[in-house]
Amino acid sequence: MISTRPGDHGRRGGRGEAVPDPADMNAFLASVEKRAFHLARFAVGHSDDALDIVQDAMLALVRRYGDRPRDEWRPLFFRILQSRIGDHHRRSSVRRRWFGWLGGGPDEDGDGFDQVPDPAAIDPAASLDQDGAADAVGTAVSSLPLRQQQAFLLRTLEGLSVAETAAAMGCSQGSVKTHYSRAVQTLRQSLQEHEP
Amino acid sequence: MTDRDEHLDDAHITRLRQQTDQVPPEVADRLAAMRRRAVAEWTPETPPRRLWPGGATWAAAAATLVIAVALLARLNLGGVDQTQPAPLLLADVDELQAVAELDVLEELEFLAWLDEEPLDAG
Repeated sequence: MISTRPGDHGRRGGRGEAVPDPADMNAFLASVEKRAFHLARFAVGHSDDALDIVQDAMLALVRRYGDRPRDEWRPLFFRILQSRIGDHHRRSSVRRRWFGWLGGGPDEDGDGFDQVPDPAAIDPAASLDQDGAADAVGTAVSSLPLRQQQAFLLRTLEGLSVAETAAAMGCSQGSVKTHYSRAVQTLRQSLQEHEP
Repeated sequence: MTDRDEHLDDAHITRLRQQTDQVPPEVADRLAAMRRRAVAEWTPETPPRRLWPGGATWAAAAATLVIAVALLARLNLGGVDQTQPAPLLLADVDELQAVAELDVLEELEFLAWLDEEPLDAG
């Protein structure tokens, strides 16, 4: 639902755009929250951490970008979500460094995320399938390096364009293509025996 | 690179979508609560976005910094130009004041002289 109110024209540079309201925001968040949760859970491996990340992203979107046109919410929301996921991994990385039992090399973006084994891979079966049966696709996605995994999920599940995915991940479009392509190759190899 | 290489099999994608469109009931409840909390923070009269967050603060800080740097540069790097007259100091003010008093005295003397002179002398 998009509402237009008298006097709103010109408040956004005179373009006369429809002004979103709380019902719009509620509908938008309801439309993305489940996939956002899964996206975060694939990335961090724990439901509680994923919920915290989604909550932060929701609050940040409303507080900082609630007055933006609704069309901008999706890329902004996933940008925030990716940023929170990145923050989580940085904090985890620092903790691991302090404990001194995990190292990693820089990837092409220089942040080392490509080399960080996803924690979800520790026990993907338990976290992915509520019925207790392991799901091959989910397990394979969980095992991807973070950047590949997020590029693949944003492109495949959210349907973001290459440019939108690049904006969400804070990297170049070329990097997105590379991550996506590598993810598909890895998944195809992992799922060979499950090919229909 | 072929299209088959570029995309995962549709069956896998469908399976993944089905999986990620669902969450356990307790997670759904928590997500709904988070959403309600976030939407509750919506303020109908969102203040207009500023070009810079806290712009006035930054401008004041920048102006202070520029002035401080300019003063330091003047004091440390610029030196004093000896060819120019010295700036007005307190001693000069006293001197000027003395000259003014002298003018008044001279004027008084002139008035006294004028008083003593006959009116038709000029």
